[in-house]
Amino acid sequence: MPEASVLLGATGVLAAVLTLTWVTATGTAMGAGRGLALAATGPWFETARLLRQRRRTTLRADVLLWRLSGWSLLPLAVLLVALVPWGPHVLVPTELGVVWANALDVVVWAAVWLLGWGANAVAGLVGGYRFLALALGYELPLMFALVAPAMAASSLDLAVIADAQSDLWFVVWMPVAFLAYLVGVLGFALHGPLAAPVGDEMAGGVLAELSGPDLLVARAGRHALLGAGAAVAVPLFLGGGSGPWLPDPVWVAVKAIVLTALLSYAAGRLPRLRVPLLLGPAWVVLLPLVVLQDLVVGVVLL
Amino acid sequence: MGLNRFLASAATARPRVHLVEAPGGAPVRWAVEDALEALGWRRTASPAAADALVVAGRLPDDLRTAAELLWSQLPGPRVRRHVEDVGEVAEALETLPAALREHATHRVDARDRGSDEVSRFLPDDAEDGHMTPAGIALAEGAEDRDGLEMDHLVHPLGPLLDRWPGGLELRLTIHGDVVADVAVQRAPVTPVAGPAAAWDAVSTTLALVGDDRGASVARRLRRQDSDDRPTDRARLRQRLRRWGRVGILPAAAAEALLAATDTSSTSVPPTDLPALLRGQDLYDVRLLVAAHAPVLLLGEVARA
Repeated sequence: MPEASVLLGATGVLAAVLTLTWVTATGTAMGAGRGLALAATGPWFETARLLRQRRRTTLRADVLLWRLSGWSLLPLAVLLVALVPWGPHVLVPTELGVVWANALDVVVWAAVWLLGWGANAVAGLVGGYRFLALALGYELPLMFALVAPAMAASSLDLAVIADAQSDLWFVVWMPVAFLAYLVGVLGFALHGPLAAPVGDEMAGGVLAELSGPDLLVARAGRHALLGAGAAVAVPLFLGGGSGPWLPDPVWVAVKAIVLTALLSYAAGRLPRLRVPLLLGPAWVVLLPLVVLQDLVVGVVLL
Repeated sequence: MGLNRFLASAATARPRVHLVEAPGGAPVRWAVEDALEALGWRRTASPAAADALVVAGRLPDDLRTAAELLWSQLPGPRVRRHVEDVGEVAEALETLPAALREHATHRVDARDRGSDEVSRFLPDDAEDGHMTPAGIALAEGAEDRDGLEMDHLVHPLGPLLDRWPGGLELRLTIHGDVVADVAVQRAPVTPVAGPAAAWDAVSTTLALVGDDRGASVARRLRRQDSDDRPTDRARLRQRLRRWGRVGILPAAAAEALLAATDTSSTSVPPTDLPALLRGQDLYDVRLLVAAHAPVLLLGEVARA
């Protein structure tokens, strides 16, 4: 790829992450009952507020790991979006897109846990351990959900998977896998029902000790991860760039923004699940259903 | 200068408030919550993210140190307000943005507070040693409820805490996030009884589980006579029943809230809080305390 188009692609990916972050912040605020004007302007006021706030630290904090993990959520979201094919264009073309996406969401485990650990304080540590329980719950259904579209397209390349849906979007005959994938996105973005690691009853859990720019990037990273997860769902389940009249990249953007808006609105609207409920429903109900979904896909392909 | 001023006014247009209740300060807290909702400002669950500390109600002398410790956790620029009367609420909040823009004051505050404010709140005999890094003792081991050796930590909740009965101080012994034991260090003032207090408990509990819409409806019922809004009341009670059934709320919390908001029954039996909290997850502790706030029965208080 020539240099100019790489630069253009990188700019496009950053702009997409910024947009999706803002859509998520607005969507969750509206889901929680705030009006459109307050919700849509909120992120800008909040950014200015946190840029002006001082940083703080705690007694004997593990500063290196604490700051590193907080500042890594946003880059992880950028990398996820970089894998998404915008029609024929993709910033990071790879035959293993599905595997890379899965690997990135596992890195979130380390980032969130270390964010809780680094502050050397009870609220963060409890939040970090809650996240491990939560991650065990959502990660297996998420992995089996990723298997379904990859199996149907006989490829791990997101572009090939998107092209395989020209007749019928995968979401139509893989609804359970789609649902499990979205639950996984809420999980690694710490949103909605799966937000126990950042719960208000634990003073904000892994975010409890953060202030100023550190809080800004960690919170933006959470929102960006939800948007990035929705963007990856477009080639996986929603037919990639296929659609009438408009060029492919526009369709990818439209689908990603609409899915992000719907998902974040639902996340803002739904209450949090209590800690004892994080693991059980995911493994007892969701996991068997997703495996069944994979089986159905396998039988159809025969 | 124009850009700086523009950024400063954007940054202070919607300050985030860390709101805590002093003993007996519930009516003032209600007024502050209503005012915040009208202004479109949000609260913070942790003092670390807040611009302003608002203490609702009259702070007794024995809680001054706790208030100072909380104040030391605000990163700055920071402003604090002690609101002792419902009539003072509007002015206390409306002056926040301007107070947050007083650069000279905040520069002096930042210079004078130093980098280590917490150490002076540690016990006098605390020393930085091998087993006490920065003066804080390491966790010790003890058997948990399953008989396994676990680290146990002593973790205080209260006396000044977000969405918490003013002045209630619990000392929890926790294994991981399971509560092994509860000691009541300080009792709150006997709460105001009545339907407003019941709807306040509903609003606090729903806010703690992230159901902001439900919490907002409960605040509306708290403001007005709930008999005027039978539909809201019935729907909110339905919601509580549903959250109790699916496990969003612990069963005991949902039952307590339904009993408190039931207009046909006259009295709600008080609850023995320490017994209720032993063996629970840390998450449920906050919900159970919030749901039982109108009917707390604390048994023996460890420190008079």
